[in-house]
Amino acid sequence: MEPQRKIESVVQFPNERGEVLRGVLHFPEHGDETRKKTIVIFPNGGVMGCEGDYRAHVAMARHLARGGYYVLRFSPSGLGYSDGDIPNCRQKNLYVQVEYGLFVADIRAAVQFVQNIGSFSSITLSGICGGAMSAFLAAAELKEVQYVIPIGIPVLLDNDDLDYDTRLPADVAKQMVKIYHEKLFSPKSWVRLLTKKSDISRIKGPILALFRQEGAYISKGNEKGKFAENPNFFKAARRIFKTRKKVLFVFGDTDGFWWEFQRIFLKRYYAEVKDAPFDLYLSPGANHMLSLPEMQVDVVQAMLAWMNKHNVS
Amino acid sequence: MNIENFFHDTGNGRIFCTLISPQNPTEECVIYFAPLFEERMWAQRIAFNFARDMAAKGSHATLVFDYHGYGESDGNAEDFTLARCRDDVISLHVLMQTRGYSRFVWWGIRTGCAIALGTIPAHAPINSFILWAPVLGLKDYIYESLRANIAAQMMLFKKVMAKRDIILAELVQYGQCFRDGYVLNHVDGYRFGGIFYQEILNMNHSKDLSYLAFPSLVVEVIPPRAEKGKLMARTESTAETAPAQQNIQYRKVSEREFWLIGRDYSQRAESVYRATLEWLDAQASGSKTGEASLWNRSER
Repeated sequence: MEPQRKIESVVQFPNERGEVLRGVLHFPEHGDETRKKTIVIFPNGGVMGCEGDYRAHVAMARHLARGGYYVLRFSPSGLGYSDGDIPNCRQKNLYVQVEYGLFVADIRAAVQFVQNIGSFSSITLSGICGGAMSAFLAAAELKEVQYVIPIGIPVLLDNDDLDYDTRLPADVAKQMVKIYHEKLFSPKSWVRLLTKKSDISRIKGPILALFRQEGAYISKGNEKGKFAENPNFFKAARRIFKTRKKVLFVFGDTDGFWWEFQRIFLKRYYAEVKDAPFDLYLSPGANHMLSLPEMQVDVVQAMLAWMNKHNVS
Repeated sequence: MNIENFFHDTGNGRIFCTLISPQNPTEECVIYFAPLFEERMWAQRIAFNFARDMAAKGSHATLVFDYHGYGESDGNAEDFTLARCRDDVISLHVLMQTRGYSRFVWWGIRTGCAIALGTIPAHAPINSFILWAPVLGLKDYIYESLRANIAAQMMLFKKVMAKRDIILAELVQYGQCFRDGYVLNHVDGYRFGGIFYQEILNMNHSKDLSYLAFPSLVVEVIPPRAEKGKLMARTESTAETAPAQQNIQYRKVSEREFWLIGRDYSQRAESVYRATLEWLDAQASGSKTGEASLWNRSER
C-alpha cells in the first residue's frame, strides 16, 4: 500500500472576479532547509481540472514533491470544483478560448496566492496540451515566473474550418491503417462494420491522412490550404526568449502535436534544436496527453533532471 | 451554498471529498458514485453542477468523493477494489452522520451505478437511489473498452503484444499483464487490478434492479440522432428487462452522452437534472418515514 501522505493539503484562493479557485498544494516530502524553496504550478489539464486528464497532474506532482519541490495544482474558473461556469459551446471553440489565454488571469491569481503563502525563490509553470498553452502564455506575461515546461503544446489554433480528419501525421496514420488492414480478414470486424458498431470516423481519419501528408490545414474559406497557426504562441515565444526565461518543451514522440511543432515552429526558425533558445525533451513512445502512468513517470523524470540542471532548487 | 474540499482519513488511506451543501442545514445527503476511467472526467462537471443546483435549492447536500487510486485520493488505480470502496463509503457515511445528515440518497453515473450496487453493505442506511445512464455489466464494459487498449499497443509497440483475452487471463492469473515495461491492464490509461476484476467476475450482472429495497430512479439517456452510434457510448436499457416494480421509476430523457467527448461542450445535462429533481421532489412530498438507521463504528 502507498504510504499515507500527509504532505498535501487542499487550498483555495480568489481570482480577480472574486470566484473561488480550488486545488491542492503539495509539500516536499523530505524537508531540507538547505534547499531553495521552489514551486511548480500546474493549472488546467487540457479542459479538465487540476488532477489533469488521465490523472497525470496528480502522479507528476507527487513525483516532484518526492524530488523536493512544492507543487500547486489548481482548477481555473469553470473547471474541477472551482467556482464559475463555462458557457455551452462547440468543443473546438472551448479549445480556441484556451489557446487564446482563457485561463491566464487565473494563473496570475495562483502566482499571487503562492507569493502570499511563502517566499519561493522561483516559480515554474507547467501543463499538458491546453494546460501547456495556458502556462506558456502566462509565463510570457508574468515577471514572477522564471521557468516554463509546456508538455504537448499546440501551435495550431483549433478551428471549425480545421480539417481534423487529416490532422494525424502520416507516420501515425500508417500505424493506424495497419491495424485496420489486419482486420480485413476478421469476420468479427466485418460484422461490427456492417452492423455500424465500428467508429467510422476513427477509421476514416487515418486513411484520409495517408493521402494528405501535409497534416492539419484549413479546409475552407479564405485561408484554405494554410496552417491555422496560433499567433499567441509566437508572440509569447518572442517575449519569453527575449526575457531569457528558461523553457523546456516536452512532447511524446508519437504525439501529432510534436509533428506540428516541428513543422510550424522548430524547423522554420532554427536549423537545429541546439541553436534554439530552449531545451526539448521527446518522451519515447509517449502520446499527446501522457495517458499511461509509465509516460507520466518518464516525463516527470526529465522535468526533474532539467530543473536540477538549471539549479531551480 | 458552501463548497468544501477536504481529505478524509479512513484509517486506510485518505479519500478526497467535496461537500456541496445548502446555506441552511439539511438532513438530506446525496453520496455520488462517479463513473470509472476517463468517463469520470467528462461527467465531473455535470455532476458538480447538479450538486450545486440541489444545494442552491436548499434540498440536499452532496458528497462527491474520489475512489481510492482515483482523482486526488491516495493510492493507485490498480489498487481500487469494491471491498475497499465499501469500507471507504461506510467511513464516509459515519462522517456525514456526525455532521448531522441522517437521510441518504446514493447517486451513480454510468459505471458508478455498478460500483454503488457492488458496494452496498448489508443494512445500508440508504433512503433512495438514483442511477443515470447505468452500466451494470462491468465485465462486458471492460472487455469492450479494451478495444482502445489494442489500438494503443499498436501505437506504442508497432504491434499487438497481448489481445484482450490474454490481458484478462494474465490479470486473473498473475495480477497484471506486463509487456516491455508497460502494464497493459488498463482502460483509457487507468489501470485496474486483478482483485477488482475478480470481484467483477463474481458480481451480479443482471439488469434487473427489482431486488432494490428502496425507492430508485433510473434515468436512461437517449442521445439526439446526430450523436448516436458512437463506440462505447451505449446506455444499457434496464427498463426493457426489468419487471414493473413499485419501488423503481424509469425515465427516458433526450440528452447528449455527457460522459464522452463530443462535438458540443456543455457543463450541464438539463433533461437529466429536471427528471431527477422532479423525482426527488415527489419523494420529499411523499413519506419521510423510514429514516436511515445510524451506523455505529462497530458495524464497520
